[in-house]
Amino acid sequence: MDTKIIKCQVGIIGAGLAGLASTLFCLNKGLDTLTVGDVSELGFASGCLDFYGADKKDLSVSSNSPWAGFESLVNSGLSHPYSFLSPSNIEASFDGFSSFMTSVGLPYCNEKDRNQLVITPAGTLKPSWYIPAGMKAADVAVTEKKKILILDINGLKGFSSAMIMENLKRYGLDVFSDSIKFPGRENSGELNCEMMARDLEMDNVIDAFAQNILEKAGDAEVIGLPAILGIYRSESLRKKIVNIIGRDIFEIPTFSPSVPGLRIKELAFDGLSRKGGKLFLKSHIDEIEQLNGKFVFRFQSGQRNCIVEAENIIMATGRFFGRGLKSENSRIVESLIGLYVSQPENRGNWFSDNFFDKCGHSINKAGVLTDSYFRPLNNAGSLFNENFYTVGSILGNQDWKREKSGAGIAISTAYSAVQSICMQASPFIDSEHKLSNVNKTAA
Amino acid sequence: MYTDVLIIGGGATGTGIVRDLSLRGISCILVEQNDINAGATGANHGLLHSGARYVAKDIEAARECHFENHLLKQMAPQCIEETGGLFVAVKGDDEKYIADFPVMCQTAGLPCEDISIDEAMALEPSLSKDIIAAYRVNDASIDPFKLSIDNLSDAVTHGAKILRHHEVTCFLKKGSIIYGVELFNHSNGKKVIVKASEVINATGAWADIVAARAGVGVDMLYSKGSLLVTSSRLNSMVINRLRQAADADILVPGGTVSIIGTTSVTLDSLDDIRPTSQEVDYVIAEGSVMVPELSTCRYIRAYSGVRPLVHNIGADGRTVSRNYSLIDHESDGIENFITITGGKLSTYRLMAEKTSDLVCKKLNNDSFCLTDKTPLPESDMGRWVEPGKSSKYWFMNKDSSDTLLCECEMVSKSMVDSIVDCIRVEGKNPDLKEIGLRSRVGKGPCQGFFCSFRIASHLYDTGVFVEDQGLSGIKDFIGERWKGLKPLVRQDELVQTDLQEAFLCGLLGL
Repeated sequence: MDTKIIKCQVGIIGAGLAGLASTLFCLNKGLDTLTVGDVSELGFASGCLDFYGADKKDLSVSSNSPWAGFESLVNSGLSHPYSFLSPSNIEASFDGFSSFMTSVGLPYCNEKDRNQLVITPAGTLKPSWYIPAGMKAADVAVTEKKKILILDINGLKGFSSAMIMENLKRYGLDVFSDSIKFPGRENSGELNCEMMARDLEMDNVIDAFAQNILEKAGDAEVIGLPAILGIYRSESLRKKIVNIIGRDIFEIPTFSPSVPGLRIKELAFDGLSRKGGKLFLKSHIDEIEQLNGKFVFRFQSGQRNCIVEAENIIMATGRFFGRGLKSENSRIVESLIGLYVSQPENRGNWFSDNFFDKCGHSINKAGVLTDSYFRPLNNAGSLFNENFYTVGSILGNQDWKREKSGAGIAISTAYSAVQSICMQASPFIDSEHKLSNVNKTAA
Repeated sequence: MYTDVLIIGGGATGTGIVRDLSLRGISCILVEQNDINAGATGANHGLLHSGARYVAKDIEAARECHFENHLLKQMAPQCIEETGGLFVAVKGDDEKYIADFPVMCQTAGLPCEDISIDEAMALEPSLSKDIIAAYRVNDASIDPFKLSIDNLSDAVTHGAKILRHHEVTCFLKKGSIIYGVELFNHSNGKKVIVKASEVINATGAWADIVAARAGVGVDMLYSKGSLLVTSSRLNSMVINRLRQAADADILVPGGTVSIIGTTSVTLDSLDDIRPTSQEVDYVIAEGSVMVPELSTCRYIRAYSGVRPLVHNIGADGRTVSRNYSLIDHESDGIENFITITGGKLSTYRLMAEKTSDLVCKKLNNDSFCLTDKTPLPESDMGRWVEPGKSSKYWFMNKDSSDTLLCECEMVSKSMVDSIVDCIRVEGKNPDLKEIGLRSRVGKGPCQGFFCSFRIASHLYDTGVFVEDQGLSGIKDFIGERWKGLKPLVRQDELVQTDLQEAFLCGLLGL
């Protein structure tokens, strides 16, 4: 087996949203970057980029004004990762990421000061800051109270247009529901979203599919479908259907497999490679060493052993699902190098008795604590290393699932860490960076 | 409403009694405040004892278990898997107990075979390498859900009536003579009067509460036992620790899983019985001594049951006899009222027999018990409760349009539809909880997180759910399963919980 040594300025560990965002921002700054990832939670992502979607007082209530929630988080003294960031940082990070996605064929829509509403497979409304263009028509339909048709597909389980309709009606919307067949797979038994998305990239299938939709369209002003409109050409496929049926359509995110999440994964990977990034997916890192002021880690790519020497590390390894955090003997540990993890005193306190507790679970706030530059701290509050950064969902003092802040944490902390790396490299202070007091104790 | 005998309590004992009496031609009504097996019968090990566990301290119990074990295998084979059992000791266990064990078994009349360590390891590769002795006995695995449902079904075939969600609020008495009960129907808030010649209190751990409503005292000790269910089956035979009975001594295989337990925690009340993380950690630590894989394997559920123990002076939960208490309250000055409590699942039929004999005597009825001669028919109601049955049925039918809604336990659309029909026939509202009771939905590795959404979708498609019934149904169903998951989410389970919360809370906003 042959061995290759690769030197880079930034080694990024993790290829989920935070890892890919870190890669993008490094490449935008002209940094020589290598990214290695294994699990990637993106396969389950809805495609929506959440900044802050919960009510500032009651996490179970969704909020349409993200900035009010952000303000109260920052002022609460809870050392949320957002408290190290300025509003302009956050805007710049989302703008940078969404521009990139638009350039690779996945445009996003946003309105600066309000969340838009996405219709979920349960018929609930999800507020999100930047939403895929393919879902925009749902927000318009809900705010303008248009007549909506929801369609499900015979053979696709876990997606019921009746369920979505029944629950949407509670918001006072005029909705009806129906089912259509998927062309070419009428008798195939169970269907899944990824399979249908790939089929739809073929002209004859998309035309027949549009006809099936048209047959049921009736007097609907806008039509909702499960998110299956292709992987690489979703915008042109959607426009084609809209042309044929003469009205707008929107996608409804599904759970697993999630095609919108897959789109981000595949298009971002391609786009970042073309920008000069070196990305290795499905590769696992077991350890990182420090040698002569550099970080060294190894992984296998095909038949090759790769040894990487990086000047800086951005670790974006995720939480339990991404395997960035795990538990050992009822303690939560950081998997790769054993960084300090702030956490509840004992396992009995990890979770609330009520799964849907409006305050979330204490374990959700466990994670790695950092300074204002997103460099991890140990339990005494000292820096692990000047050139080592942690970003994304592995961070402590945030509950992304309940706050609806997952993408915001991933993208904006990645942006900030990259800025910090550039600042270290240059003697000039970047005036955009917000310096705040570091609170070393867990919430 | 009038009946010869009113039975209060829908666990193994109550359902056993209603079948016993119905076979004898006696009219019966069974009332249950919650649902079938809501008490200890729905929260035990699923173990059909050989009796060997009791040979040291309670030889009478050991003999009874042995006899019933043999009989039930003939009478209700559909509820039993004849796994056989092992008693194993590890380095450091009491050598004297090990040496006395075969002698004690022999005294009790139980078959007990001394086997070599190599043979034990060949039979059960999951055993620790540190075992120093092994004996083979006739333990087996029994499905308490199927058992109660089958008993109930046969009773109904013979004319019995069942009233679920009906709680006894007071006893109707003329002086000290009981002639019936007043019931509160939790489903519709209405009161129901039932008059009966004899009333049997078969309410297990609630026996003292119910007896108090009749004006009688029964001194009970509530002893909680918690058990853990593994994600996949680890053993083919029941594995017992060869020592004086203690905690986390038994690993029972059941269908597609294994169950390790148990603990013994004295409780003050029956409110909110749930397993704690300390109990979970303790059971895993103790159990791993016999079967090391228990410390690393994935668990899908923890649950607790309360043993109904009638108090003996100065006893802790474990030294109180597991033998049953059959009390004719004539001795307390109350007529037409009997309490049967205590005991264990393995001897339910015997307890039912003794109780039924006593009741018949009081009714001047000289009929005799038929449950030791009449096999228990397998009921339709109990069909989908058996692990693995759904998957065999689905595979045989080979209907690719009959989508699997619960992939862990292979429950398909058509099965859900037939269960919904059954529920309607019983006059109840179909919802996820009712479907869960009549099938294995939610009992597999995902514990309902994925399948609850799929099944709710299907129920909206078929018009069973309207408005937000499905969403509140999902929250209730998962809330229930969470009780059993919360204390054991600690290793690999964290990954799944993370994902499920992301879907339900992050995406759907539930």
